[in-house]
Amino acid sequence: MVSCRNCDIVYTQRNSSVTVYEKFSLEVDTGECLALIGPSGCGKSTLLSMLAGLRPPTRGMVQINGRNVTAPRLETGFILQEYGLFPWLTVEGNIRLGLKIRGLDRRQEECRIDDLLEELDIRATKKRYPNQLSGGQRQRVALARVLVLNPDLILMDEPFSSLDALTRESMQRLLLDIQKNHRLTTILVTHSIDEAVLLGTRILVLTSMPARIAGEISNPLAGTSGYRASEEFFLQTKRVRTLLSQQLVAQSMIDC
Amino acid sequence: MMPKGTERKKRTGQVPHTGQVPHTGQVPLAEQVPLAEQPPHTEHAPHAEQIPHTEQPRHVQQTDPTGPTLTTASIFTKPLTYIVTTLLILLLWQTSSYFLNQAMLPSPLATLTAMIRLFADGTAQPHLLASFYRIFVSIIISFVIGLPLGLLIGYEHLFERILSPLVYLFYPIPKIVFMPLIMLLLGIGDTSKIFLIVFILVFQVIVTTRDAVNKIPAEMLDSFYALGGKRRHAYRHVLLPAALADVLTMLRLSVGIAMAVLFISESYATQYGLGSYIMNANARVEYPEMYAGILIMAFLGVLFFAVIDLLEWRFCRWQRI
Repeated sequence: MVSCRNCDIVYTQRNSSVTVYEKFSLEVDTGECLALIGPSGCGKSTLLSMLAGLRPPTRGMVQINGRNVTAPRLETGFILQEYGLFPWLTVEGNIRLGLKIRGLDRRQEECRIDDLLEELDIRATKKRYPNQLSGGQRQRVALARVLVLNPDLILMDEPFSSLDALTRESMQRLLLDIQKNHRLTTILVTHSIDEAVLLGTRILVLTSMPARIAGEISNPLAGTSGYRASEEFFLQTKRVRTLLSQQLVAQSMIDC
Repeated sequence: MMPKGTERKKRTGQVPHTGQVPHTGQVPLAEQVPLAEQPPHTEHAPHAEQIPHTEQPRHVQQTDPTGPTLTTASIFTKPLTYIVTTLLILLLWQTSSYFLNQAMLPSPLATLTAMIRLFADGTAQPHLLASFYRIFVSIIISFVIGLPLGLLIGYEHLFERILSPLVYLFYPIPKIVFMPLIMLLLGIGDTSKIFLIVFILVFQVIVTTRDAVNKIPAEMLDSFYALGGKRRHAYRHVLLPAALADVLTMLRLSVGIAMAVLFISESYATQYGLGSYIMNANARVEYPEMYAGILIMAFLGVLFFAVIDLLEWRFCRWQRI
Protein backbone atom coordinates (compact mmCIF):
# COMPACT_ATOMS: atom_id res chain seq x y z
CA MET A 1 0.00 0.00 0.00
CA VAL A 2 2.70 2.50 1.05
CA SER A 3 5.81 2.33 -1.05
CA CYS A 4 8.88 4.48 -1.01
CA ARG A 5 11.51 3.66 -3.64
CA ASN A 6 15.10 4.87 -3.84
CA CYS A 7 14.26 8.09 -2.09
CA ASP A 8 16.87 10.72 -1.32
CA ILE A 9 16.18 13.58 1.01
CA VAL A 10 18.85 16.26 0.95
CA TYR A 11 18.57 19.54 2.81
CA THR A 12 20.61 22.35 1.35
CA GLN A 13 21.50 25.30 3.53
CA ARG A 14 23.60 28.01 1.91
CA ASN A 15 26.92 26.29 1.16
CA SER A 16 26.32 22.96 2.89
CA SER A 17 23.95 20.10 2.31
CA VAL A 18 22.76 17.34 4.62
CA THR A 19 21.74 13.97 3.24
CA VAL A 20 19.03 12.60 5.49
CA TYR A 21 18.12 9.62 3.28
CA GLU A 22 19.98 8.09 0.40
CA LYS A 23 18.32 5.49 -1.84
CA PHE A 24 15.90 4.65 0.93
CA SER A 25 13.17 2.13 0.17
CA LEU A 26 10.26 1.01 2.26
CA GLU A 27 7.09 -1.03 1.76
CA VAL A 28 4.15 -1.10 4.14
CA ASP A 29 1.19 -3.41 3.63
CA THR A 30 -2.44 -2.48 4.12
CA GLY A 31 -3.55 -2.89 7.72
CA GLU A 32 0.00 -3.18 8.97
CA CYS A 33 1.31 -1.18 11.91
CA LEU A 34 4.91 -0.30 11.21
CA ALA A 35 6.99 1.03 14.10
CA LEU A 36 10.06 3.07 13.21
CA ILE A 37 12.76 3.42 15.82
CA GLY A 38 16.26 4.82 15.56
CA PRO A 39 18.83 7.15 17.08
CA SER A 40 17.78 10.74 17.76
CA GLY A 41 18.06 12.98 14.73
CA CYS A 42 18.24 10.12 12.23
CA GLY A 43 15.35 11.55 10.22
CA LYS A 44 12.36 9.55 11.40
CA SER A 45 10.11 12.61 11.47
CA THR A 46 11.41 13.67 8.06
CA LEU A 47 10.40 10.29 6.69
CA LEU A 48 6.85 10.76 8.00
CA SER A 49 6.67 14.24 6.50
CA MET A 50 7.72 12.76 3.17
CA LEU A 51 5.08 10.03 3.36
CA ALA A 52 2.51 12.68 4.33
CA GLY A 53 3.36 14.61 1.19
CA LEU A 54 4.59 17.63 3.12
CA ARG A 55 8.24 17.34 2.02
CA PRO A 56 8.67 15.65 -1.33
CA PRO A 57 11.85 13.57 -1.73
CA THR A 58 14.79 15.18 -3.52
CA ARG A 59 14.96 12.04 -5.68
CA GLY A 60 12.89 8.90 -5.81
CA MET A 61 9.20 8.20 -5.58
CA VAL A 62 6.61 7.78 -2.85
CA GLN A 63 3.44 5.92 -3.74
CA ILE A 64 0.35 5.12 -1.74
CA ASN A 65 -2.16 2.70 -3.23
CA GLY A 66 -0.30 2.97 -6.52
CA ARG A 67 -0.54 6.74 -6.75
CA ASN A 68 2.41 9.10 -6.52
CA VAL A 69 2.42 11.30 -3.46
CA THR A 70 3.51 14.82 -4.28
CA ALA A 71 1.21 16.75 -1.95
CA PRO A 72 -0.74 15.93 1.24
CA ARG A 73 -3.19 13.16 0.50
CA LEU A 74 -6.75 13.46 1.78
CA GLU A 75 -6.83 9.87 3.06
CA THR A 76 -3.65 10.21 5.11
CA GLY A 77 -3.92 11.35 8.71
CA PHE A 78 -0.81 12.87 10.26
CA ILE A 79 -0.49 13.28 14.02
CA LEU A 80 2.47 15.35 15.06
CA GLN A 81 4.53 15.09 18.20
CA GLU A 82 2.95 18.17 19.75
CA TYR A 83 -0.45 17.17 18.33
CA GLY A 84 -0.67 20.25 16.09
CA LEU A 85 -3.95 21.40 17.61
CA PHE A 86 -5.02 24.97 16.95
CA PRO A 87 -5.19 26.80 20.29
CA TRP A 88 -7.83 29.28 19.11
CA LEU A 89 -10.31 26.55 18.27
CA THR A 90 -12.29 24.49 20.75
CA VAL A 91 -12.05 20.71 20.72
CA GLU A 92 -15.09 20.63 18.46
CA GLY A 93 -13.63 23.34 16.21
CA ASN A 94 -10.36 21.45 15.89
CA ILE A 95 -12.13 18.24 14.95
CA ARG A 96 -14.38 20.07 12.50
CA LEU A 97 -11.63 22.04 10.77
CA GLY A 98 -10.56 19.27 8.40
CA LEU A 99 -14.18 18.81 7.29
CA LYS A 100 -14.61 22.53 6.89
CA ILE A 101 -11.63 23.05 4.61
CA ARG A 102 -12.72 20.06 2.54
CA GLY A 103 -16.23 21.46 2.24
CA LEU A 104 -17.74 18.52 4.15
CA ASP A 105 -18.94 20.35 7.23
CA ARG A 106 -22.57 19.35 6.93
CA ARG A 107 -25.29 18.18 9.24
CA GLN A 108 -24.58 14.49 8.57
CA GLU A 109 -21.09 14.95 9.96
CA GLU A 110 -22.53 15.98 13.33
CA CYS A 111 -23.31 12.40 14.29
CA ARG A 112 -19.86 11.26 13.22
CA ILE A 113 -18.18 13.90 15.38
CA ASP A 114 -20.38 12.98 18.34
CA ASP A 115 -19.63 9.26 17.86
CA LEU A 116 -15.90 9.95 17.79
CA LEU A 117 -16.09 12.16 20.87
CA GLU A 118 -17.87 9.27 22.57
CA GLU A 119 -15.46 6.62 21.28
CA LEU A 120 -12.42 8.60 22.41
CA ASP A 121 -14.04 9.59 25.71
CA ILE A 122 -13.69 13.35 25.19
CA ARG A 123 -17.33 14.38 24.96
CA ALA A 124 -17.05 16.47 28.14
CA THR A 125 -14.24 18.51 26.59
CA LYS A 126 -16.16 19.44 23.44
CA LYS A 127 -16.31 23.16 24.21
CA ARG A 128 -12.90 23.45 25.80
CA TYR A 129 -9.77 24.88 24.26
CA PRO A 130 -6.59 22.79 23.85
CA ASN A 131 -4.77 24.63 26.65
CA GLN A 132 -7.48 23.46 29.04
CA LEU A 133 -6.80 19.81 28.28
CA SER A 134 -4.39 17.26 29.66
CA GLY A 135 -1.77 15.69 27.39
CA GLY A 136 -3.86 12.54 27.02
CA GLN A 137 -6.97 14.51 26.13
CA ARG A 138 -5.06 16.51 23.54
CA GLN A 139 -3.80 13.32 21.99
CA ARG A 140 -7.36 11.99 21.81
CA VAL A 141 -8.50 15.22 20.13
CA ALA A 142 -5.66 14.90 17.61
CA LEU A 143 -6.79 11.34 16.91
CA ALA A 144 -10.43 12.40 16.57
CA ARG A 145 -9.47 15.19 14.19
CA VAL A 146 -7.78 12.68 11.93
CA LEU A 147 -10.36 9.90 12.27
CA VAL A 148 -13.28 12.15 11.37
CA LEU A 149 -11.78 12.41 7.89
CA ASN A 150 -11.98 8.64 7.33
CA PRO A 151 -8.28 8.02 6.68
CA ASP A 152 -6.84 4.73 5.44
CA LEU A 153 -3.33 5.57 6.66
CA ILE A 154 -2.25 7.21 9.89
CA LEU A 155 1.23 8.60 10.42
CA MET A 156 2.15 9.24 14.03
CA ASP A 157 5.27 11.09 15.10
CA GLU A 158 6.18 10.14 18.65
CA PRO A 159 2.56 10.58 19.61
CA PHE A 160 2.82 9.56 23.24
CA SER A 161 6.28 10.87 24.09
CA SER A 162 5.12 13.74 26.26
CA LEU A 163 2.60 11.70 28.25
CA ASP A 164 3.13 10.19 31.65
CA ALA A 165 3.54 6.41 31.82
CA LEU A 166 -0.04 5.53 32.70
CA THR A 167 -1.64 7.87 30.20
CA ARG A 168 0.72 6.56 27.56
CA GLU A 169 -0.38 3.01 28.28
CA SER A 170 -4.04 3.92 28.05
CA MET A 171 -3.40 5.77 24.79
CA GLN A 172 -1.50 2.79 23.38
CA ARG A 173 -4.45 0.57 24.20
CA LEU A 174 -6.81 3.09 22.62
CA LEU A 175 -4.69 3.17 19.47
CA LEU A 176 -4.85 -0.62 19.21
CA ASP A 177 -8.65 -0.48 19.53
CA ILE A 178 -8.90 2.24 16.90
CA GLN A 179 -6.66 0.35 14.50
CA LYS A 180 -8.87 -2.68 14.89
CA ASN A 181 -12.16 -0.76 14.61
CA HIS A 182 -11.17 1.48 11.70
CA ARG A 183 -8.91 -1.04 9.89
CA LEU A 184 -6.09 1.45 9.55
CA THR A 185 -2.58 1.17 8.22
CA THR A 186 -0.33 2.87 10.74
CA ILE A 187 3.24 4.10 10.61
CA LEU A 188 4.47 5.08 14.01
CA VAL A 189 7.70 6.83 14.90
CA THR A 190 8.75 6.27 18.48
CA HIS A 191 11.70 6.48 20.82
CA SER A 192 10.29 3.86 23.13
CA ILE A 193 11.34 0.24 22.53
CA ASP A 194 8.35 -0.99 24.56
CA GLU A 195 5.96 1.06 22.47
CA ALA A 196 7.46 -0.15 19.21
CA VAL A 197 7.14 -3.79 20.31
CA LEU A 198 3.68 -3.35 21.79
CA LEU A 199 2.18 -1.62 18.74
CA GLY A 200 4.23 -2.49 15.68
CA THR A 201 3.44 -5.65 13.77
CA ARG A 202 6.76 -4.91 12.09
CA ILE A 203 9.60 -2.92 13.62
CA LEU A 204 12.22 -1.11 11.59
CA VAL A 205 15.41 0.03 13.28
CA LEU A 206 17.07 2.90 11.41
CA THR A 207 20.72 3.92 11.36
CA SER A 208 22.03 7.45 11.87
CA MET A 209 22.08 9.88 8.95
CA PRO A 210 22.00 9.14 6.12
CA ALA A 211 19.45 6.74 7.51
CA ARG A 212 19.21 3.17 6.31
CA ILE A 213 17.28 0.21 7.63
CA ALA A 214 19.60 -1.42 10.15
CA GLY A 215 17.24 -4.24 10.93
CA GLU A 216 13.70 -5.40 10.56
CA ILE A 217 11.85 -7.41 13.17
CA SER A 218 8.59 -9.15 12.48
CA ASN A 219 6.29 -8.84 15.44
CA PRO A 220 3.01 -10.60 14.60
CA LEU A 221 1.83 -10.77 18.21
CA ALA A 222 1.72 -6.97 18.55
CA GLY A 223 -1.60 -5.76 19.85
CA THR A 224 -2.75 -9.14 21.06
CA SER A 225 -4.22 -9.53 24.50
CA GLY A 226 -1.72 -10.08 27.30
CA TYR A 227 1.24 -9.54 24.97
CA ARG A 228 2.91 -6.93 27.18
CA ALA A 229 3.20 -9.40 30.03
CA SER A 230 4.49 -12.26 27.89
CA GLU A 231 7.96 -13.73 27.54
CA GLU A 232 7.85 -13.10 23.78
CA PHE A 233 7.37 -9.36 24.40
CA PHE A 234 10.48 -9.32 26.56
CA LEU A 235 12.50 -11.19 23.92
CA GLN A 236 11.36 -8.82 21.19
CA THR A 237 12.31 -5.74 23.21
CA LYS A 238 15.71 -7.34 23.77
CA ARG A 239 16.14 -7.84 20.01
CA VAL A 240 15.21 -4.25 19.26
CA ARG A 241 17.43 -2.96 22.05
CA THR A 242 20.40 -4.94 20.72
CA LEU A 243 19.93 -3.58 17.21
CA LEU A 244 19.49 -0.06 18.49
CA SER A 245 22.54 -0.30 20.76
CA GLN A 246 24.65 -1.40 17.80
CA GLN A 247 23.54 1.74 15.98
CA LEU A 248 24.39 3.95 18.91
CA VAL A 249 27.84 2.35 19.23
CA ALA A 250 28.42 2.79 15.50
CA GLN A 251 27.31 6.43 15.78
CA SER A 252 29.62 7.14 18.73
CA MET A 253 32.57 5.63 16.79
CA ILE A 254 31.81 7.92 13.84
CA ASP A 255 31.56 10.90 16.19
CA CYS A 256 34.98 10.05 17.70
CA MET B 1 6.28 28.82 -4.14
CA MET B 2 7.01 27.05 -0.89
CA PRO B 3 5.31 28.45 2.21
CA LYS B 4 7.87 29.88 4.56
CA GLY B 5 6.43 28.05 7.51
CA THR B 6 7.29 24.63 6.17
CA GLU B 7 10.94 25.55 5.80
CA ARG B 8 11.25 27.22 9.13
CA LYS B 9 13.00 25.40 11.92
CA LYS B 10 10.68 23.65 14.30
CA ARG B 11 9.60 25.48 17.36
CA THR B 12 7.78 24.23 20.35
CA GLY B 13 5.73 27.36 20.78
CA GLN B 14 2.96 26.79 23.24
CA VAL B 15 -0.06 28.81 24.02
CA PRO B 16 0.70 31.41 26.64
CA HIS B 17 -1.43 31.11 29.71
CA THR B 18 -2.13 33.43 32.52
CA GLY B 19 -2.58 31.16 35.45
CA GLN B 20 -3.42 27.75 36.75
CA VAL B 21 -6.88 26.85 37.83
CA PRO B 22 -7.37 24.01 40.29
CA HIS B 23 -8.46 20.85 38.57
CA THR B 24 -11.68 19.18 39.42
CA GLY B 25 -12.69 18.07 35.94
CA GLN B 26 -13.26 14.47 35.00
CA VAL B 27 -10.40 12.42 33.66
CA PRO B 28 -11.52 9.95 30.99
CA LEU B 29 -11.97 6.54 32.51
CA ALA B 30 -9.55 4.95 30.08
CA GLU B 31 -6.73 7.16 31.39
CA GLN B 32 -7.40 6.14 34.95
CA VAL B 33 -7.18 2.41 34.43
CA PRO B 34 -3.67 1.03 34.67
CA LEU B 35 -2.56 -1.61 32.23
CA ALA B 36 -1.53 -5.05 33.32
CA GLU B 37 1.84 -5.21 34.99
CA GLN B 38 4.87 -5.45 32.75
CA PRO B 39 7.82 -7.82 32.84
CA PRO B 40 10.58 -6.42 35.06
CA HIS B 41 13.09 -5.75 32.28
CA THR B 42 11.01 -3.44 30.11
CA GLU B 43 11.58 0.29 29.86
CA HIS B 44 8.64 1.35 31.97
CA ALA B 45 7.46 -0.82 34.74
CA PRO B 46 5.34 1.39 36.95
CA HIS B 47 3.48 -0.21 39.81
CA ALA B 48 0.32 0.88 38.18
CA GLU B 49 -2.01 -0.90 40.51
CA GLN B 50 -0.62 1.05 43.48
CA ILE B 51 -0.71 4.47 41.95
CA PRO B 52 -4.07 6.21 41.73
CA HIS B 53 -3.94 7.92 38.38
CA THR B 54 -5.18 11.47 38.45
CA GLU B 55 -3.62 13.15 35.49
CA GLN B 56 -4.09 16.87 35.78
CA PRO B 57 -5.38 18.83 32.85
CA ARG B 58 -3.37 22.02 32.86
CA HIS B 59 -6.20 24.50 32.88
CA VAL B 60 -9.60 23.24 33.71
CA GLN B 61 -12.16 25.54 35.12
CA GLN B 62 -13.77 24.73 38.40
CA THR B 63 -17.29 25.77 37.73
CA ASP B 64 -18.39 24.71 34.29
CA PRO B 65 -16.96 21.53 32.87
CA THR B 66 -18.30 22.19 29.39
CA GLY B 67 -17.28 25.76 28.74
CA PRO B 68 -14.37 28.08 29.36
CA THR B 69 -14.24 30.53 32.22
CA LEU B 70 -12.90 33.85 31.12
CA THR B 71 -10.68 36.00 33.25
CA THR B 72 -10.05 39.46 31.97
CA ALA B 73 -9.19 42.77 33.51
CA SER B 74 -11.22 44.81 31.03
CA ILE B 75 -13.56 47.60 31.92
CA PHE B 76 -16.49 45.27 31.24
CA THR B 77 -15.56 42.53 33.65
CA LYS B 78 -14.14 44.61 36.49
CA PRO B 79 -16.12 47.87 36.39
CA LEU B 80 -15.75 48.42 40.14
CA THR B 81 -11.95 48.54 39.84
CA TYR B 82 -12.23 51.18 37.15
CA ILE B 83 -14.77 53.24 39.12
CA VAL B 84 -12.53 53.24 42.20
CA THR B 85 -9.47 54.19 40.10
CA THR B 86 -11.42 57.06 38.48
CA LEU B 87 -12.55 58.32 41.89
CA LEU B 88 -8.96 58.26 43.14
CA ILE B 89 -7.77 60.26 40.12
CA LEU B 90 -10.56 62.78 40.69
CA LEU B 91 -9.61 63.03 44.37
CA LEU B 92 -5.96 63.65 43.48
CA TRP B 93 -7.03 66.23 40.90
CA GLN B 94 -9.36 67.96 43.36
CA THR B 95 -6.65 68.05 46.05
CA SER B 96 -4.03 69.41 43.63
CA SER B 97 -6.44 72.03 42.34
CA TYR B 98 -7.38 73.08 45.88
CA PHE B 99 -3.78 73.48 47.08
CA LEU B 100 -2.43 74.99 43.86
CA ASN B 101 -5.34 77.40 43.68
CA GLN B 102 -4.50 78.58 40.17
CA ALA B 103 -6.77 79.20 37.18
CA MET B 104 -4.65 76.85 35.05
CA LEU B 105 -5.78 73.88 37.13
CA PRO B 106 -9.55 74.09 37.62
CA SER B 107 -11.33 71.64 39.88
CA PRO B 108 -12.90 68.46 38.46
CA LEU B 109 -16.31 69.88 39.23
CA ALA B 110 -15.64 73.07 37.25
CA THR B 111 -14.31 70.96 34.37
CA LEU B 112 -17.29 68.59 34.40
CA THR B 113 -19.65 71.58 34.52
CA ALA B 114 -17.87 73.08 31.53
CA MET B 115 -18.05 69.76 29.70
CA ILE B 116 -21.79 69.41 30.31
CA ARG B 117 -22.29 72.97 29.11
CA LEU B 118 -20.25 72.27 25.96
CA PHE B 119 -22.43 69.27 25.15
CA ALA B 120 -25.62 71.09 26.10
CA ASP B 121 -25.00 74.04 23.79
CA GLY B 122 -23.77 71.73 21.00
CA THR B 123 -20.20 73.04 20.98
CA ALA B 124 -18.47 69.74 21.78
CA GLN B 125 -20.26 67.43 19.34
CA PRO B 126 -18.76 68.64 16.03
CA HIS B 127 -15.26 68.56 17.52
CA LEU B 128 -15.78 65.09 19.00
CA LEU B 129 -17.30 63.71 15.81
CA ALA B 130 -14.55 65.17 13.62
CA SER B 131 -11.82 63.62 15.81
CA PHE B 132 -13.66 60.31 16.11
CA TYR B 133 -14.13 60.14 12.35
CA ARG B 134 -10.44 60.84 11.64
CA ILE B 135 -9.14 58.25 14.10
CA PHE B 136 -11.69 55.60 13.19
CA VAL B 137 -11.11 55.93 9.45
CA SER B 138 -7.33 56.03 9.96
CA ILE B 139 -7.32 52.83 12.02
CA ILE B 140 -9.57 51.02 9.56
CA ILE B 141 -7.44 52.06 6.55
CA SER B 142 -4.24 51.12 8.41
CA PHE B 143 -5.62 47.66 9.06
CA VAL B 144 -7.07 47.15 5.63
CA ILE B 145 -3.65 47.92 4.14
CA GLY B 146 -1.33 46.67 6.89
CA LEU B 147 -2.90 43.36 7.90
CA PRO B 148 -2.82 41.66 4.48
CA LEU B 149 0.62 43.08 3.75
CA GLY B 150 1.93 41.84 7.12
CA LEU B 151 0.50 38.37 6.45
CA LEU B 152 2.01 38.29 2.97
CA ILE B 153 5.43 39.53 4.08
CA GLY B 154 5.40 37.06 6.95
CA TYR B 155 4.43 34.07 4.83
CA GLU B 156 5.47 34.60 1.23
CA HIS B 157 9.15 34.78 0.33
CA LEU B 158 8.49 36.94 -2.70
CA PHE B 159 6.69 39.64 -0.71
CA GLU B 160 9.27 39.43 2.03
CA ARG B 161 12.11 39.98 -0.43
CA ILE B 162 10.41 42.92 -2.12
CA LEU B 163 8.75 44.70 0.78
CA SER B 164 10.89 43.94 3.82
CA PRO B 165 13.68 46.40 2.90
CA LEU B 166 11.06 49.09 2.32
CA VAL B 167 9.45 48.46 5.71
CA TYR B 168 12.84 48.26 7.38
CA LEU B 169 13.86 51.64 6.00
CA PHE B 170 10.57 53.44 6.63
CA TYR B 171 9.62 52.01 10.02
CA PRO B 172 12.17 53.87 12.18
CA ILE B 173 11.67 57.26 10.51
CA PRO B 174 9.65 59.63 12.74
CA LYS B 175 6.91 60.20 10.20
CA ILE B 176 5.41 63.15 12.04
CA VAL B 177 8.21 65.26 10.51
CA PHE B 178 6.43 64.85 7.16
CA MET B 179 3.38 66.71 8.50
CA PRO B 180 4.18 70.07 6.86
CA LEU B 181 4.88 68.37 3.54
CA ILE B 182 1.70 66.28 3.75
CA MET B 183 -0.34 69.41 4.52
CA LEU B 184 1.21 71.16 1.55
CA LEU B 185 0.41 68.26 -0.74
CA LEU B 186 -2.98 67.17 0.59
CA GLY B 187 -4.30 70.40 2.10
CA ILE B 188 -5.45 71.10 5.62
CA GLY B 189 -8.64 69.06 5.54
CA ASP B 190 -9.37 65.54 6.76
CA THR B 191 -7.31 63.87 4.04
CA SER B 192 -3.95 65.12 5.27
CA LYS B 193 -4.73 64.23 8.89
CA ILE B 194 -5.95 60.76 8.04
CA PHE B 195 -3.00 60.21 5.71
CA LEU B 196 -0.54 61.19 8.44
CA ILE B 197 -2.07 58.81 11.00
CA VAL B 198 -2.25 55.99 8.46
CA PHE B 199 1.35 56.67 7.43
CA ILE B 200 2.43 56.15 11.05
CA LEU B 201 0.13 53.25 11.95
CA VAL B 202 0.37 51.14 8.83
CA PHE B 203 4.03 50.28 9.39
CA GLN B 204 3.28 49.18 12.92
CA VAL B 205 0.46 46.95 11.72
CA ILE B 206 2.70 45.44 9.03
CA VAL B 207 5.63 44.77 11.36
CA THR B 208 3.47 43.34 14.16
CA THR B 209 1.53 41.08 11.81
CA ARG B 210 4.69 39.90 10.05
CA ASP B 211 6.38 39.09 13.36
CA ALA B 212 3.28 37.30 14.62
CA VAL B 213 3.21 35.14 11.48
CA ASN B 214 6.90 34.36 11.89
CA LYS B 215 6.19 33.10 15.40
CA ILE B 216 3.72 30.44 14.22
CA PRO B 217 5.30 27.03 14.86
CA ALA B 218 6.08 25.08 11.69
CA GLU B 219 4.24 22.07 13.18
CA MET B 220 1.02 24.03 13.21
CA LEU B 221 1.23 24.73 9.51
CA ASP B 222 2.26 21.12 8.78
CA SER B 223 -0.73 19.97 10.78
CA PHE B 224 -3.00 22.27 8.77
CA TYR B 225 -1.70 21.14 5.39
CA ALA B 226 -1.90 17.51 6.47
CA LEU B 227 -5.61 18.05 7.13
CA GLY B 228 -6.02 18.92 3.48
CA GLY B 229 -5.74 22.70 3.81
CA LYS B 230 -4.71 24.66 0.77
CA ARG B 231 -2.47 27.67 0.74
CA ARG B 232 -5.38 30.09 0.39
CA HIS B 233 -7.09 28.49 3.40
CA ALA B 234 -4.02 28.98 5.61
CA TYR B 235 -4.53 32.75 5.74
CA ARG B 236 -8.01 32.45 7.16
CA HIS B 237 -7.64 29.35 9.32
CA VAL B 238 -4.09 29.65 10.67
CA LEU B 239 -2.20 32.87 9.95
CA LEU B 240 -4.92 35.37 10.83
CA PRO B 241 -6.19 33.71 14.03
CA ALA B 242 -2.63 33.04 15.20
CA ALA B 243 -1.61 36.65 14.57
CA LEU B 244 -4.80 38.29 15.81
CA ALA B 245 -3.87 38.43 19.50
CA ASP B 246 -0.63 40.28 18.77
CA VAL B 247 -2.38 42.53 16.28
CA LEU B 248 -5.03 43.54 18.83
CA THR B 249 -2.35 44.29 21.42
CA MET B 250 -0.65 46.46 18.84
CA LEU B 251 -3.99 48.12 18.06
CA ARG B 252 -4.20 49.15 21.70
CA LEU B 253 -0.82 50.89 21.42
CA SER B 254 -1.79 52.34 18.07
CA VAL B 255 -4.85 54.08 19.48
CA GLY B 256 -2.63 56.06 21.85
CA ILE B 257 -0.25 56.97 19.04
CA ALA B 258 -3.10 57.82 16.68
CA MET B 259 -4.65 60.18 19.22
CA ALA B 260 -1.33 61.90 19.88
CA VAL B 261 -0.75 62.38 16.14
CA LEU B 262 -4.33 63.55 15.70
CA PHE B 263 -3.91 66.14 18.44
CA ILE B 264 -0.78 67.54 16.79
CA SER B 265 -2.28 67.56 13.30
CA GLU B 266 -5.51 69.17 14.52
CA SER B 267 -3.57 71.89 16.27
CA TYR B 268 -2.80 73.49 12.90
CA ALA B 269 -5.34 75.33 10.78
CA THR B 270 -8.27 73.18 11.78
CA GLN B 271 -11.82 74.33 12.35
CA TYR B 272 -13.26 71.18 13.95
CA GLY B 273 -11.46 68.62 16.07
CA LEU B 274 -10.65 68.15 19.73
CA GLY B 275 -7.01 69.12 19.20
CA SER B 276 -8.05 72.37 17.68
CA TYR B 277 -10.65 72.99 20.41
CA ILE B 278 -8.13 72.36 23.23
CA MET B 279 -5.51 74.66 21.68
CA ASN B 280 -8.07 77.40 21.05
CA ALA B 281 -9.42 77.16 24.61
CA ASN B 282 -5.84 77.42 25.86
CA ALA B 283 -5.28 80.51 23.71
CA ARG B 284 -8.51 82.04 25.08
CA VAL B 285 -7.36 81.22 28.62
CA GLU B 286 -10.59 79.25 29.14
CA TYR B 287 -9.03 76.58 31.29
CA PRO B 288 -12.17 74.67 32.39
CA GLU B 289 -13.13 74.40 28.67
CA MET B 290 -9.59 73.30 27.79
CA TYR B 291 -9.68 70.56 30.45
CA ALA B 292 -13.14 69.57 29.28
CA GLY B 293 -11.65 69.09 25.79
CA ILE B 294 -8.83 66.99 27.28
CA LEU B 295 -11.39 64.89 29.17
CA ILE B 296 -13.46 64.32 26.04
CA MET B 297 -10.33 63.22 24.22
CA ALA B 298 -9.53 60.86 27.10
CA PHE B 299 -13.05 59.41 26.92
CA LEU B 300 -12.57 58.90 23.21
CA GLY B 301 -9.40 56.93 23.94
CA VAL B 302 -11.18 54.84 26.58
CA LEU B 303 -14.00 54.17 24.12
CA PHE B 304 -11.52 52.79 21.58
CA PHE B 305 -9.85 50.69 24.28
CA ALA B 306 -13.24 49.28 25.26
CA VAL B 307 -13.95 48.35 21.64
CA ILE B 308 -10.57 46.58 21.45
CA ASP B 309 -11.42 44.75 24.70
CA LEU B 310 -14.64 43.56 23.10
CA LEU B 311 -12.78 42.40 19.98
CA GLU B 312 -10.26 40.53 22.14
CA TRP B 313 -13.02 38.96 24.19
CA ARG B 314 -14.76 37.83 21.04
CA PHE B 315 -11.83 36.61 18.96
CA CYS B 316 -9.02 35.76 21.42
CA ARG B 317 -10.86 34.16 24.33
CA TRP B 318 -8.56 31.15 24.14
CA GLN B 319 -5.70 33.35 25.31
CA ARG B 320 -7.47 34.36 28.48
CA ILE B 321 -8.15 30.88 29.76
